[in-house]
Amino acid sequence: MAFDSLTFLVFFICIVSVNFLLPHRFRILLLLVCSYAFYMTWEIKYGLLLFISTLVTYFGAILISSAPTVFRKRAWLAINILINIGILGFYKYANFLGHTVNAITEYFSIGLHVPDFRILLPLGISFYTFKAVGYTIDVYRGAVAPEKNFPVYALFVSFFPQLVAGPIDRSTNLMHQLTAPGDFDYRKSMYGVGLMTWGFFKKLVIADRISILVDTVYNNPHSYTGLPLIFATLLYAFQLYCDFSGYSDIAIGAGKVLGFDFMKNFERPYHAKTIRDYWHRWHISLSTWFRDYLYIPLGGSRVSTFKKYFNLFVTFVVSGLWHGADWKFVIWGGLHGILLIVSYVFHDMKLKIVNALGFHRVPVVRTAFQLILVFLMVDFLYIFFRANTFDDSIYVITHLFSGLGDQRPADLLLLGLDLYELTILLAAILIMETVEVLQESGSFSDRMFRLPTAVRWASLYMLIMIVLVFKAQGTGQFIYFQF
Amino acid sequence: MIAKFIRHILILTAAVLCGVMLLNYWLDYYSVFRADIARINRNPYLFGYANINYLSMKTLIDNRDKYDSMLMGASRAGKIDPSSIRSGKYFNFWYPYAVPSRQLKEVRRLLEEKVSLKNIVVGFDNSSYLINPDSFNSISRSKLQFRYYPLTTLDTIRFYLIYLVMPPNSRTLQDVFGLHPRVLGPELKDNGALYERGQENKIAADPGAHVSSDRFTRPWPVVNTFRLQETLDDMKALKSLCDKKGIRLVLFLNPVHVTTYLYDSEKDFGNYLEFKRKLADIAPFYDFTGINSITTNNMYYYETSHYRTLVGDMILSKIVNGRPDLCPPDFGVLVTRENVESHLRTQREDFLKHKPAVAAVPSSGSGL
Repeated sequence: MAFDSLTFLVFFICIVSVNFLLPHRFRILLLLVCSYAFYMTWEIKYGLLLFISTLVTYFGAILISSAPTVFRKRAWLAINILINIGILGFYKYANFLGHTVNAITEYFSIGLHVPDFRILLPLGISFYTFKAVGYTIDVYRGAVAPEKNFPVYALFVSFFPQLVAGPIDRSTNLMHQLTAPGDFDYRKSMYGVGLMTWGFFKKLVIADRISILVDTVYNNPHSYTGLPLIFATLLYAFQLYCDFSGYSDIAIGAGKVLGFDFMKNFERPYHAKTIRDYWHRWHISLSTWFRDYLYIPLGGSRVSTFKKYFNLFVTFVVSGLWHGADWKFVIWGGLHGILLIVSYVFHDMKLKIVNALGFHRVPVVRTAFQLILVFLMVDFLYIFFRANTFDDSIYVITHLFSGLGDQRPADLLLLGLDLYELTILLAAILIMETVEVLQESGSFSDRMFRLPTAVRWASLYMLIMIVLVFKAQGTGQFIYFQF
Repeated sequence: MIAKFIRHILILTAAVLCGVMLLNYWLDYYSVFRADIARINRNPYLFGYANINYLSMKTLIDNRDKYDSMLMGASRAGKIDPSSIRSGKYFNFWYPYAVPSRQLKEVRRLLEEKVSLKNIVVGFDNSSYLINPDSFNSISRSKLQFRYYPLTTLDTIRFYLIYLVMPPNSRTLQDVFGLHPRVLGPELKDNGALYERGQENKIAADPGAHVSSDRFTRPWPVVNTFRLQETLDDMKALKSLCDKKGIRLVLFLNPVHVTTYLYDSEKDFGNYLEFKRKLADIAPFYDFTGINSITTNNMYYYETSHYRTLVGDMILSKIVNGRPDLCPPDFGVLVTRENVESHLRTQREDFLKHKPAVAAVPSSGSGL
């Protein structure tokens, strides 16, 4: 049951209607049952896996908390992490490991072949595993007390808006909201409806429309050189952002309608002026998870410069691996790590160059230059992210500028989107960018609620109509579901 | 507060629904609200989605004194221009995927609506028993243009409601406002006949290219279900109704291009012969199918399914205009109870003799 289906809308409306009619103590049970039902519409047996992960971390947290010594606490934490990451590793990385071993043994002509496991990656396993593991670490650190009420904890792990693609919320943020749900907040719920609609706009009007063109090119990259590859790569940045942030907006909006405040997941990442800034704005719930539960435990930045860079690199490689069991994701993460390290190493030199070129006297030019440069770097690395195989990504990179002299812009209209569809797409991106620029200068929700009621309702109404009429034909699955 | 929220969401939902309904009414993508034939003749992209069944039924009911005879059939028969028929004021009541069960209901409804009918000419195909009329009742965007004219009050409410609430999409706007490269599309004439203006111009401009086009190597089969006996029962009922109402009924089988004709498996072809055998038992009919000088000549076809208007003229000259001399002698056989077996034997022999060893690849536009 995907967010962009009519089934989900009906499901959600039913939950909202019943939720607020029930006394507080029954709401948790309702949301828990609905969350499992939501998850099991994809595959019933995966509900069991979710339950096991929940059970392990529930008791694990209690054992950690009640352990009399630090050693025992650590032992329970390690066991907990091992079990959870072990399940994730088996489902997500077993075949990847096998393929890697096979490639090595083949290279050295060793007669060893690891057979493939016939396993399917359970939807959302990377998300809920990280959420549950994060909770046990929080308990270990004493940031939260272990939750004794099992339904509350089970709901924390399985809450349906966040279940399959995040945000990977923290126990410090969400748990207390679940234990003591607040009264109905009209303003928050209405804002949630608006946010959900905005998410649908990004997903259905922009991301799904771009996917037609990007899929045409990236599913058959060897048929293209130059302009189509550049155009598809540029658009993919918007597809990925609108797809994933659209999903996050729907999830956060759904949470708000139900009275919950989830953590933010995106903050206009293409408005970033540096790579560091980009990672503060992109998939925030994951990047902060890695910061808090991997980078800092490794020593973070309070170590020698070399160790700090090493920690950064390791964190980004693991982050790449989290995204997918493929070397192209590892390379994507590793290159981001290298970019960050380079930005640290050459920080002073960069300032000197900026000053020498006189950019510091024209901030608008400097900002534009920074925005474009960061966007292009990030977008270039997306090639590894989007290409179906590592070989494809190398082909795309090596042919990005081939044959440009013989190509006409009109050829871009042969990639699945005609001039009319491209016009709709560009207009939609323009609307999104306008809203995002407005968001830079303050809370959009506050701004919306300051508008006259009629204007506010008319805006929401127009947005719904735009989504209904201009949604791309044949919608696709959310990209981050595969992770 | 919760009551206020629910109230506002309900109002918003109602407003969105009203907006969608108004937009649909204004756009009238399927031409069911204003039935404006001039509009679809101007815009070939809109033509492609017009509900021809609805348009034709409405034209006949609104002009009950203008026509006294009908030519019925699916899209193949649509190319026949009945203006040459002198024995009645004919209207070509064709629509895509027409089948006898629907045609029977439509004749009944037209008679109830006091449309005077003296002659009915029906063109059948093998698809007549291979299409399930119920498949067009699904609430799916791709089936909306094929929904049948509503015959009951409940049907009428459902019919308009579906067209009103199905959200339009960006393609709808593009088609309605003609935001496409300009092309010359077909024309739906006053008498219901479909004239393929664009295709006829292309053929006239370069007949050689048309004849040698590779589209004639791709068959155009239509398979959806198998309801041979039900179809024959419906045809029997149609014959009885016509006899009872004093309506002259003429039946014929549309000539199908040899590529599509030979695409059938031996079993399917056997079913077709069985259909003809039983049809001859109900009423005599003209059979234009088979391997003859028309069906083997690409010049007489737009592709391997639809014949050109000039072929329609030949059919009419043989079956209603009393001028068989305007038709090649091997084109069209009057099949009766008496000669059906020998006719079928000849057709089977021809089929087996010409059937290619390797089946052709169907056209992408075929099927449902």
